[in-house]
Amino acid sequence: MQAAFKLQNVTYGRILNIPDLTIPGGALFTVTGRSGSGKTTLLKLLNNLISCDEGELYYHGTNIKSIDPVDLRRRVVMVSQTPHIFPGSLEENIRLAFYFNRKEPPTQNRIKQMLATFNLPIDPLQDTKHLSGGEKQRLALIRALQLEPETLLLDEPTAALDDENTETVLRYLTDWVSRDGRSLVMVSHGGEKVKAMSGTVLLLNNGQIEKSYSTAPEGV
Amino acid sequence: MPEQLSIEIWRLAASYLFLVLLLLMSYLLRLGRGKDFIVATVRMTIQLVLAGYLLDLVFGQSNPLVTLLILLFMQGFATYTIIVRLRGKISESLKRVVVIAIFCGTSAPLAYFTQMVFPADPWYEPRYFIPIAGMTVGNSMIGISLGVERLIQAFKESRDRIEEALMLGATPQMAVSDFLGDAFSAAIIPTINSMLGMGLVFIPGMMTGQILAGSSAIEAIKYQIVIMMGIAGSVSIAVYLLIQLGYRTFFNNRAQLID
Repeated sequence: MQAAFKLQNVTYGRILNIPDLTIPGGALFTVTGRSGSGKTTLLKLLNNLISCDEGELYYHGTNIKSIDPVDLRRRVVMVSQTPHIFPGSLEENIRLAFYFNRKEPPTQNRIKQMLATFNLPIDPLQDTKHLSGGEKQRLALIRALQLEPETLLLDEPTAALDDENTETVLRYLTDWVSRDGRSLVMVSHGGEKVKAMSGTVLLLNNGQIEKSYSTAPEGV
Repeated sequence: MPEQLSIEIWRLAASYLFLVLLLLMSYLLRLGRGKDFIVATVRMTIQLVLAGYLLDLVFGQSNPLVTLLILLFMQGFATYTIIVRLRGKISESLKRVVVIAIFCGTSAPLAYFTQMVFPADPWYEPRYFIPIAGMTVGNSMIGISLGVERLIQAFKESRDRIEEALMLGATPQMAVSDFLGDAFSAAIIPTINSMLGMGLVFIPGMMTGQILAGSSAIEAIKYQIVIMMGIAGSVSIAVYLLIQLGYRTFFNNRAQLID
């Protein structure tokens, strides 16, 4: 399996210090650890939202310094833990993401379909200002998934979700990876459901790798 | 044309009665700002007297270099005023953008204006060039000041939103385009409002001055229209330059937001 990312001697302030790490492509990769262990910083580095102080970072074998930063973010899309929902309707939010990527937006039917898949039976033309935290998180996920990026970086995608919605989201993500062979890097505090689906788990502690291990998927 | 009415010194002194009135009101309302009003009046008087003598001196000569030096001084002072007001809030690179916006944003419209719209002979005739330059530089200074403040505020308060757009693959320009529009509107609105109320709500200072000095109202209106168009053009070019170059200073060459 080709590596999606490879990190060599990467440091970022005192937050992160990774001598060597390979994140496999076409698979699930879960980053876990306590608060402040550097999980979100790692995602931001992979998304090129920040640059490492030292070391090298490769994406599909190419040093990310030589990849156009905007082009990289179109291939490697990130969803933050508390995603920002842009003013306007649900549909406008999705359309905006497509405008950012210079892609043709999906039809309203396709948007409705995705909303239903994620238990959001809401009119796409409805304003987003009345959405709950969990609904916003799912909308942000749909917004990113619809872009069909090569790699998706998710920061605590189920943090604001109840058990039922957590299960729906994780099942969809598992299918998404196995169906399309795309890469998924997900930050998570843990939780049985997340652990059960992970292909590789990386445990960070104080910005350093404590351990990395593979888990056989047992189903969600 | 009626003869220009000369204001004698004692009449000039009589106008200061309004300062006494202002001080009385300040006392009655317990504002405690009497000193501010006196300082403002004294400064206004000294500045205008000095400017009057200086302009008389300048108007007496006809040297393009002197005229351009005065323009340069106005532009420099306008830049200094903006930067001092934003001390501590504005980055070094944004300061450089303010300099470019003021100098290019006012020089280019002035060049067009003096060649095409208001062809004084010679173009650098200080009696025409300097008041026009003063009005365009002054108004552009206000526009840039409002625009740069709005830009800084947007990047401070909407960091999450900008970062979210970047995460989704937006170019820096896409990520901030709404804020650029807001900053442009905020900067240009005073000029537009002033155009809307002109002639109905108020008679502009330059026109009033001309009428009081004995010009016909029709002639004064023609002057006022071309000056207002010059001001609108200059403010919009200066502010456009500011926002288009300014937003880039908040990003590095990896399209990342700078802390």
